[in-house]
Amino acid sequence: MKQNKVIIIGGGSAGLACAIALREKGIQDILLLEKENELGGILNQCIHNGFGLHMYKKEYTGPMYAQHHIDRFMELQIPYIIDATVLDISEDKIVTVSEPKGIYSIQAEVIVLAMGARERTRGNIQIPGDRCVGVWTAGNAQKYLNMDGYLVGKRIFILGSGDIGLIMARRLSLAKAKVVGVAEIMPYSNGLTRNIVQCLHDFDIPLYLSHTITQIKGDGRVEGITLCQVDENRQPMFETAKHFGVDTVLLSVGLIPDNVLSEKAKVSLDLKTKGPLVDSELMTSTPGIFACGNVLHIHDLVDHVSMEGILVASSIIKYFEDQDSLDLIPVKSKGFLNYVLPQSINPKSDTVLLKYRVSKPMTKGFLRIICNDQVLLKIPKVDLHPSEMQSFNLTKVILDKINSNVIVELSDE
Amino acid sequence: MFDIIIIGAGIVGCNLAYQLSLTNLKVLVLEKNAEILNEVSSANSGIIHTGYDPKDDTLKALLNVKGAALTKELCEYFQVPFLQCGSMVVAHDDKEIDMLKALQIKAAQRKIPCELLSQEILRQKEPHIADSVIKALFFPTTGVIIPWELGYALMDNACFNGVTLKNSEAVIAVEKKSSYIVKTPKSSYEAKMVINCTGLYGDKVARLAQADYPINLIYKKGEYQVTDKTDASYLNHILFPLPTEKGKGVLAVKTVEGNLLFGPNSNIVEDPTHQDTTSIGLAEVNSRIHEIIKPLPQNRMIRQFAGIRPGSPTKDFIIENHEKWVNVIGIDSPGLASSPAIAQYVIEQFVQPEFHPETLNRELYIHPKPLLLMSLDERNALIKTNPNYGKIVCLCEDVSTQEVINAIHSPCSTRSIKGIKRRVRPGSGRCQGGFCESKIVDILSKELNIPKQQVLYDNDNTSFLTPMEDLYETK
Repeated sequence: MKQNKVIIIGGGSAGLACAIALREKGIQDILLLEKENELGGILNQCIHNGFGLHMYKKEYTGPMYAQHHIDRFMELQIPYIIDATVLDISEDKIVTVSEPKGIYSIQAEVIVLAMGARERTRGNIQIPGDRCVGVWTAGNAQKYLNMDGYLVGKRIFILGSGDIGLIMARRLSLAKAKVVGVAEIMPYSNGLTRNIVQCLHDFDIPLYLSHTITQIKGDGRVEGITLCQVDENRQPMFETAKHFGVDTVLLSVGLIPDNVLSEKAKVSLDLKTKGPLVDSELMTSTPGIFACGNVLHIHDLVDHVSMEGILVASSIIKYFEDQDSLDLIPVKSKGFLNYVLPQSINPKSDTVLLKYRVSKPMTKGFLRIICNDQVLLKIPKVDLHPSEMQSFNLTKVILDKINSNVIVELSDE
Repeated sequence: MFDIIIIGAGIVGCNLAYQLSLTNLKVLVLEKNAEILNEVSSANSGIIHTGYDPKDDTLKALLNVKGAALTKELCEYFQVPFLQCGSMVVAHDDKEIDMLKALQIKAAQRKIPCELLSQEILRQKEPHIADSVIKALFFPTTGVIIPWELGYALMDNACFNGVTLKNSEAVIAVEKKSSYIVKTPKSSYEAKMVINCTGLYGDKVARLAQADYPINLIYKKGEYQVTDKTDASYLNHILFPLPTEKGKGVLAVKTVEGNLLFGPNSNIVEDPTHQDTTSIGLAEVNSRIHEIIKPLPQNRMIRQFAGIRPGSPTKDFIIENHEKWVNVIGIDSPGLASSPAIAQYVIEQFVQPEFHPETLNRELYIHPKPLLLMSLDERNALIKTNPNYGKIVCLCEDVSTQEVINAIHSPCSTRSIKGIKRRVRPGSGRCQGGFCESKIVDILSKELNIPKQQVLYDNDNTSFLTPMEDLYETK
């Protein structure tokens, strides 16, 4: 059987950053597997700008950001295979891959999960109605438009105010399609504020908060939708029904970390993040399998994805130096938090980057780090929004005080 | 001049086309949709019922028992999956137990094997059965098939044997002379005999030949939920509630591919053209399924769909011949399981006395086995012959580019995204085509030698792409 020290699954922003950092740290035996016919991942279809503000203080487009990494990756001559789909990962880190040259298994010492995410579909959120053509996920419509040069429709309604939906509202308007409206089931938008302004306000596209699509109608092609206001339990109030004549419905209703392969490798998943449970080194429940990027949890900025890839590279170096199992301390979230990552920490770490998402918009709040009923740290926070991932660095001083379960709590006082 | 024109390429039409293709008769199949098996035959539970349910002395009782056995034989012959997983009809109280016992007697009379299971045994066999279930009648021979896979195997072989199939040709008029002239918007065709097996439109098509045809079909819509394959191990058998006047009830079945299918409810609708799901209907399925199975630990529904079944007022199949015009009408449940026997019945009753056809020896056409079911060695051998077998186009369902190409060029060709989805599964997994649909468009465009804006999603009015260059005037 073929062998590789590190196999990275996925050549998008997480996988590329991890591969580059690993090689820069001196790891020679790396193999990156990419299922598409080019490196770069979803960035390739994100032709808008705004990428790289944090990492490079520059506003790259998606392809530029990707190319920046691909160039470095090529310069370092890191081995990779395109059109290579991983079909299976076993618990003992055997990767089965299918590519045009054959289908074979490779024994890895370390595997990096960097497969990204998939979009939630109509079936996931159960929109009733006809099964006509004209309903796509926003990312799929983006791929048709930006990669292939084809428009999927002329009069469009977008469900969900996720960033891809907002970006597509602008992109489609520029491509001479009429975006009739964007609806969001929550009472607040789920995209970055800059995207609400630049993609909806600037194009006079109405945003319907606390609304959802309750029916799609059409014979062959979508002909129209019914939009209803929802109550506080997010249940549609059918007496508020409005009808819109459109030929296309795009869904931007969330991303799901793509962990089908992780599950095959018996990696434990977090029901909230839908990604692997990881420790502060971003190692999963299976020793030697690490995760970074959208496969771990959904990010709003690619910069953070790249940084996670780099963090995993450092963790892998440490893992090669010392594979003793550690006594990890579980981290739990409390209060107005959707999740906290990592789900366990190694108190011997020098520093641990905690990432979290709030469960509702808050103008101010307090984040507490609690251990043994003692508040180790209380941090005031302002302008918190579920669409914006937050992070906080636990320093050595705090980590030294941690000796049992950590609770990360967000409250309004 | 054809001997026989079959109108409608649903599962009945496919069975008829195949059985007639084994004779020296000249046969034409006219299908109004771009793809065969596009309506009733693709939107159903896929269950091969054993035949305990239909009333005595009905065509349904006769043809279901016979058809179930024939279906199994056909699946073996064509090497398409038939999963004999067995079924349980469940009871929640003493009254329902009495009904199970009555069903048991009826099954015994029809020589259908079955066994009454105690609480303990049924929970061993089916750990996630609902807590309220106290007894079950177990039918070990009930099976499940991929309805369109058998249908495609039948039609592929029919076409391979020389039957002519015309897709996208709806019959709009019929003229009766010494023979029948059957007209479509594109052409007209002449045949000595016509078999009308047009499912939802059976009564309307019958009236093209006989204006005063009295039967009016009753349309029953059933809605379904489909789960992610991750939940495959949640269910071992097909679970039914007790049958009622409305039908077999909201059932739970694991498809051959490993998705769980919950449904159908049953509501009478006026319009057979809209196979739409409704909030109320899906809510009904979501709640009634818990009468037989415990709620799944996670909601991982990937799709909802509805199927409409053409019921007859007599509640039985109607198979009749009037001056060499044969109507096969009202083929609702157990139509799929009965379909090979329906075709046999039509041929024995009406075709043989008229034509006395010769039986011919035909070669078998086997559609290539899915890579998913092959060993790595088998797959490698194929990749050596063609690298496209190594290029995976759909990760969710493990489908290679070459399998899609093969489906496009099979004897009864496939030319829509939905057709490809049925034949080789890209788009039927958890991403619902999010990752693969544009790649399927590429392959269809290339293989059919048409621009992408002509690639069909489903029927003829469903091309959906506009090239960007058409949007901007170039100077």
